[in-house]
Amino acid sequence: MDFRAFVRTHLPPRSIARDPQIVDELAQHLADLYDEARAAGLSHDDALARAVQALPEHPEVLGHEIEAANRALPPAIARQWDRIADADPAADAAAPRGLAMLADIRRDIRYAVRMLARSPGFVLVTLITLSLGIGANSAIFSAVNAILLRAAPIADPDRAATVFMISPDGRDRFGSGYSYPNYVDLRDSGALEGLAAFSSIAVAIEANGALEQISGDIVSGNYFDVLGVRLPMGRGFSADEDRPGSPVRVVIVSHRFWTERLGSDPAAVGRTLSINGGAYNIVGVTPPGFTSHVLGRAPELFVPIAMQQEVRLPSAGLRRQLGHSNLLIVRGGGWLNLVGRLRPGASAESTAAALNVVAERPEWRVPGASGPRRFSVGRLGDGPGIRTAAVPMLAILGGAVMLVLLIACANVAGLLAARAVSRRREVAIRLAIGASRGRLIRQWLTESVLLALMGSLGALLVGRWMATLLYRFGVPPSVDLSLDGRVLAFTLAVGVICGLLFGLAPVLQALRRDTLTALRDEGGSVASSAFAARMRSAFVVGQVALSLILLVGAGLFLRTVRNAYNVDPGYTVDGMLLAEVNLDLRGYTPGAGQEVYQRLLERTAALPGVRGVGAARVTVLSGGARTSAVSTDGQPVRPDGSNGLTTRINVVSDGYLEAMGIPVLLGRSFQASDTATSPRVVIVSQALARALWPTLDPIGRTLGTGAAPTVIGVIPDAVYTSVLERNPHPFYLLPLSQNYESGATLHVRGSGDPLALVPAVRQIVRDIDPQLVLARPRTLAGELEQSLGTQRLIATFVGLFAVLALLLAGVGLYGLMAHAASERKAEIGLRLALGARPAAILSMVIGDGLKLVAIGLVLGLAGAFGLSRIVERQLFGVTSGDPLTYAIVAVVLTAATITACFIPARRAMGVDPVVALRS
Amino acid sequence: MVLAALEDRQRHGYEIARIIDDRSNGVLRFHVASLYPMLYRMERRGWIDGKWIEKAGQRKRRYYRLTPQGRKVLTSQRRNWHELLTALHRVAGLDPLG
Repeated sequence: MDFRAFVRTHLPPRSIARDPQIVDELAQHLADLYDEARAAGLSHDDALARAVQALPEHPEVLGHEIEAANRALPPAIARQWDRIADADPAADAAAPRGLAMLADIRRDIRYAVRMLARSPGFVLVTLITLSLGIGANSAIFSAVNAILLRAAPIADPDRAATVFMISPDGRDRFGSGYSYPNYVDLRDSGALEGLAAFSSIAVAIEANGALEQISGDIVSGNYFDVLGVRLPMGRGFSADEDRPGSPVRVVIVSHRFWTERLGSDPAAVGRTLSINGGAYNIVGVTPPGFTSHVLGRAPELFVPIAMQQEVRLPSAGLRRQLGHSNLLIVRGGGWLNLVGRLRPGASAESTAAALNVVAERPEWRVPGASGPRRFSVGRLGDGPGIRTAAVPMLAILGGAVMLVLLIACANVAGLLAARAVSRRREVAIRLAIGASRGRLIRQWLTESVLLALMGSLGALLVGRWMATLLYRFGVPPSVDLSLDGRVLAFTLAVGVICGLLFGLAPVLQALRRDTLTALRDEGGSVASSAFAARMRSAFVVGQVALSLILLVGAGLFLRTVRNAYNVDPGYTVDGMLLAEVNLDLRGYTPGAGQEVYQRLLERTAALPGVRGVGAARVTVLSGGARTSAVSTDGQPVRPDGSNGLTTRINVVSDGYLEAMGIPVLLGRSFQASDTATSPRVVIVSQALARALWPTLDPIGRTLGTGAAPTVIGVIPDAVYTSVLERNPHPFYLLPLSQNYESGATLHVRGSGDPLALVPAVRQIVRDIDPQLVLARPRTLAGELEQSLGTQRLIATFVGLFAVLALLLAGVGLYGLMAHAASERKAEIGLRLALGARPAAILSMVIGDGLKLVAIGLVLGLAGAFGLSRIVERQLFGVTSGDPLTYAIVAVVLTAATITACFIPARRAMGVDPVVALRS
Repeated sequence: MVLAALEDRQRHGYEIARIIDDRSNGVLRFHVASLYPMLYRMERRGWIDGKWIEKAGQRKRRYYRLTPQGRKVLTSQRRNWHELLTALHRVAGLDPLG
């Protein structure tokens, strides 16, 4: 019989195993089997069957084995490897381990895949656990990456710099209000290679026949050059267009504006755009990657600074004071921010020193100040802004996801350790037939790293989902959280590190046992998995402790958010519509403007479903505020501010207090009879009244000096910028009718959904002036929600992570208890046979679990107490050591863990003594 | 076991399988799928040496013989097994091995 053809077809194609020598040898073996069977008297068919059966059912198995054997280490390295694996660790360092590893890595991976495929349940649980654990890290890292790590989309971002002014007292190191003449001095000083100025503007554009207010930037002509941003279409601003006094109506639109509003028109450059009623020539479009050099900002268009009088008018008060509206010739005050490019090789310090020289000039002197101004030069993103604001939040979330990952790793390590115990037969056999210990360790690490890498892929999906969740909680859409190389590398790296980390558990176990012990353990005695059980117990204790820390964090932030919502702001938040009108865009005189406000308020009040209407310059809860110092002693406020009280000012219409639901405690509210010609009046907050006139009746007193307004009313202290504000400043309100503002926010209280009123109000605005825009309609409740964005985000995410942690810890504990209970089946059976009550068994098993939980609780409470101090500043109305939170968390955790123990305990209780003992 | 089978003289694969089968009274039986890969692996490690030999009246066969290194490995593994089996015997309460 010639079996060569059969053997060849029985081996995988394109494999070393099809080598004619191997085929010959195997065929010979089959032939021998056949001959022997024939000699023993079997028929041709039976003998053939016996021979053929010698080959494994699946040809790949034999193919793989032969291939693997053939690619085994060359003799020299193999000898060395055996010595490494069996010798002391000191020898390891000297050996060419990398070479040996490379030679075998493919084989290890193949074997790992085969081993994993044998236990799909284990793989599934592990992958879900890892996907969640690593995914949470991936999501938070994508935020860290976008906010802290990714460079601004400009050329050579390392040399880009922000120029800050340091306040004379040195307290404010990030001052950024420059006048145009000051900017020109600094730009022309040559201290930087280039210096550009920018400021945000709100303009009305005409789109589809209707007016719309959008945000943009007014920039110096060199803005794009300084940043090194090349415009893919059109050009930057020319010198002519940058020259003050000869305004040219040109505009550069953002990429988004070009795609969304201009329909990606390839001929967009050269088209005109109606901005504040003027026809602007589009000269360029920004590149797709560039939104602004400042993270989180996304101006839709850029207008040269020479157009200031059309797009960025000074406030009505300043205009009155100046007698004109040309800010480019005003040195005092500041409205521009600066961004520059350092000279090659120049440091921030040397640049600041060169700028300081400019500030010595006489025209730079600040009246009343003790010395000249000083500058500091920071990198882009330094100073106030989304980066600085995000750091504490990212730190908290980063810490939380790290804990989740640790818990997930502990779970997987526990699973692997248990698996290692059940695989001890395989280990023993492999060791006995000559596999070295090093091989086994490497094999296990390969398996766990492979698992972790697969988990990383799942994590990318989880991470993407969580990133979209981040957008819903206040991360600006212009912050790009999408997957990039760095996030991908991070996710995979975390996976590999985790794989090595939890892969150590079974390895440690393997290292402890030699062939003898391994074989002696055969049969599943209790002692066999003692080490594994100890290790898993430690994991469970750690998981309980870590979950507790996360739960405490989540509890503290949930209470913070709850407290914040429970704060009585001093007015009714629900049912209030806010929308802005900007009369500046139309260049009204104060008299005409007042009339517009009056008609607008009257007609809105007459709408059905409207219960109150008012207007205010500053919206409460928006985070914004206008402040000034009020003299506490009747004398003018001294330059050093020693007799000044920092106070917030708002300008509101009559009807505002009523619409907001703010009661008047003393005196009266503003009335229609308070006009530009009647005596000037003011309403103060209770705290301000108490500070200025602690024992006197405030009504009828004057606030400040000179032609100061008379106090006509006192209102309660209300929440101003945010409900989370500590030590809020006192405030006072001035009537709009006596203090014209060129823009105000309309406050409309309706009886139903406030946003349903928008079309009607918009129609009224259009009726009054077709060129007027009703901008940013929103609700006060939404404003409140947004002001709590950070706390809500942290509460939501830490809460999510804590639930995840609790779930993982529960699964870990369940796994441990179930395993322990099944190992002790014989013992439990014996106890039952000897008359133990099932209930006693139940409490015994649960008690074992609770012992671990108790240790975890103690450790976790200590850890939570220490760690929660870090978040103290982010909390509101609750201390980091809040006993109630800790108590609730401890109870929840204990309840969850008892549940996790209960199922295996119930099963243990139901053990049939006879069956258990017989087995 | 494979090494022991080759101790006295060179043998081909089928012979090795038969010898182990016989010596263990059929308790230990090697599959093709495990025997030959193991032989190749041992050969790579330099424990055994395989050669194609044509004997009169027979087909060409690959015969394996023990190398000096393989002999050393065999000695050390024998010792290990002896210790293990002695221990197993003691634990199981069987007669001590001779």
